Amino acid sequence: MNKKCDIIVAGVGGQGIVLSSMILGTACIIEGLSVKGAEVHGMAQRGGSVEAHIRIGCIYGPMIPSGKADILIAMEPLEGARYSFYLKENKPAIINTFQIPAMGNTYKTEDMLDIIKEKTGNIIAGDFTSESIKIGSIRILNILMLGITARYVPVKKESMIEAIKQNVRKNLVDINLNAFNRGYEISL
Amino acid sequence: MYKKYLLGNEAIAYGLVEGNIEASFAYPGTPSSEITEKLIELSRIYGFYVEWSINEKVAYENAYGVSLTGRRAAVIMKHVGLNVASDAFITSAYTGVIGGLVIIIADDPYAHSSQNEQDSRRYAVMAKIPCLEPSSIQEAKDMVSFAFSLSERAGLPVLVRSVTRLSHSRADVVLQDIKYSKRDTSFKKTPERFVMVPANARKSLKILNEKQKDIKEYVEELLWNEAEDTSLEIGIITAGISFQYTKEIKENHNLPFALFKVSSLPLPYKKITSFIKNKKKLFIFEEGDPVIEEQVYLIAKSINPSIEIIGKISGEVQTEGEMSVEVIDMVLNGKSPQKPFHSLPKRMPVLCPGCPHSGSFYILKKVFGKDAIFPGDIGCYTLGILSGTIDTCLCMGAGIGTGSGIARFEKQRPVLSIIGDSTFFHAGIPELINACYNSANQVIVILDNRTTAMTGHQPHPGVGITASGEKTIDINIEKLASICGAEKVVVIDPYRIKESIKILKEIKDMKGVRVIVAKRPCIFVEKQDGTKFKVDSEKCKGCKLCLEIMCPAICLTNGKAEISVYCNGCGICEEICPYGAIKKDE
Repeated sequence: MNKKCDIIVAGVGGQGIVLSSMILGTACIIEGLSVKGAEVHGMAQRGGSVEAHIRIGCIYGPMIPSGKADILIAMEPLEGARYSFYLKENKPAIINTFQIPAMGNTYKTEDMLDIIKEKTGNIIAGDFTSESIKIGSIRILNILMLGITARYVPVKKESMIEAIKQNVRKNLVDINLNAFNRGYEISL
Repeated sequence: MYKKYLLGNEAIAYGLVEGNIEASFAYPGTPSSEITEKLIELSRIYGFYVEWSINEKVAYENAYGVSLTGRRAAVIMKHVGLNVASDAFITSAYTGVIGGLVIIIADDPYAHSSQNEQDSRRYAVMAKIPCLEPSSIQEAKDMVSFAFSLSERAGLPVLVRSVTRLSHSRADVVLQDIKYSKRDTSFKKTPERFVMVPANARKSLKILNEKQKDIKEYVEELLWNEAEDTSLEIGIITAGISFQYTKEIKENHNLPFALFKVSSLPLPYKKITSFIKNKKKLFIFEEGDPVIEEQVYLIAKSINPSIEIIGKISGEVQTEGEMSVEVIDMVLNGKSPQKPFHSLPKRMPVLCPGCPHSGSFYILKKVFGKDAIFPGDIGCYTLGILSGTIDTCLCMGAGIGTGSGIARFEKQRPVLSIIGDSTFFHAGIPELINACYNSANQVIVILDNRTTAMTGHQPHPGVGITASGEKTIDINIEKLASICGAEKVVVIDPYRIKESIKILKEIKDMKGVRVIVAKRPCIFVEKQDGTKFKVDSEKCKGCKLCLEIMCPAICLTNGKAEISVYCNGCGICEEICPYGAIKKDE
């Protein structure tokens, strides 16, 4: 299996994007893979557009060049469309369709998915926010989406589970593992 | 030895501990803050001293003082912080140091979260001290540790330059098992060296100039200044994170180029000379200003005058923003990057739902009118630019001074200087005293959200705890403002709109310096109780008054207001809704 994999995680500040990048990176350390990552921090704490880059098997810089990403994970459809230019042709895009309005601007989720379709036909889309709330919290969306991603990345599911344990607070491990497993089921 | 997935800033903290740091001083600033956050954590294990200082100048002087006792100290800040510390910084090179003194500066090319893109290497050149520039997170960790011994060997402070893409990226980093030790040294009186009266300053400059020869020798030995494929006729000289981008392109395209990685200033002149001797063409990629490029021109002039140099000076490489794989690929291969091809709704940075600043801005506009002038400052509240309540932003503390100047001539319009609590302690106090002393006619609004919010909620002198979480004095901003000479000081709660408007109307037409302290903790400091508000769409008339708060949790759907799950329950919208359409979601 090719151990190189460039992943873009996009969303809105406050959705736990940094944590998902930490978990993927930790999983690489567990497996002894080299890994680089970058977080684009906005000015404000919440509500801004956020992108994280994770480069599994990379020994150079942390930034994924345009059109070179192997996976796009978008926790919000507008952000999915915004960062779809990073994706290689026909690589998987995992898109949460639950919208977070941008400064009162409304847009159609369908239009966002159409933009992503110009890059790839391989789209796994769904309202994963509502799915997370069903499990117990809006805050586990990031982990649920990692669960969906698990079968596309060159690290073992078990390593990701171990990485979750290392990166979330003890009392939240169970709910996060539920979210991860639910995500994994969705991907099958 | 073991491996960890670390943020660049965290790796730098580990490097400082590997180098036996005994004290660290910093003022928070993106992208540098996480270095100190990590040091606070590590200090609990190794027992060294960590401080959030109130500004970069006092931080620098503290670190310098520690160095004079013979111990190793670090001072950490973002690039513009060095402007504040520069007075102490420049002259400290004259006196030199005893214990290793390492200055870590995080530059911000592209100004991701800064007011400018200044290049700190120019400061190192100006002060005539060594500057190290890591190209990876692993190097950053190793270099800061080494920087202590370089500083002691040269008897000078050493500047280590990071950039956003190093400080805020992550990598698998190899860490050493730390054998931490402290020194038992003490301050020795040497006035001819440490008292910079003119006679001593003149002698010290001569000593500093003599040290330059030694520094040039030291950097020749640095293994981080390295070259590959040197026999080839086309060469690339690069430094910092640009080296990684260049390596990636070189490998992907199998480019037949020689490559030199510069890791220090001064440049390793001998190594560079031998590198460029046989070259026909040379590309230079560096973050920020063409600092290396300028020096390479000087070397080339004498040893290889016909060489073609392609870089920022020749115009082929962009002089603003940051380097990237795309930018370098474009110069080397003429490939233009795949650009985003859709115009999408922008998601501007906004104040959080429930942010007390939103309430303050709403109140100020209601009382003082849209014609009022708002000289602003640096903090989350700079986002008041969106609601017309920030009209200027220059640097830390500038809002008050700028406001005094504007008010001197704008006699008909109210002038309201906006400054945050941490910024007030950093640079606002002398400005307030100046306004009072010179009888300025202005309002100074101190947005006291009980933390340094934008950089990640560090404590400051107004909250009664130190960096390490110990209790200390808390300085009352209202009392301080009175002592500084303000005519009138009032305190408002930005969540209580009507009450605050009433209080402010009373001071609106007064003269002199009036200080408003808008006190309410940042939503990240005080836990929310889970209250949420909702709109009764029967009662909502679509008047859009609630949109004036600019809360990102409120939007208009089919002509009616709607509150999203991101509501933090501040209740400002409930208070201002004239139709009683907003209620708690029970």
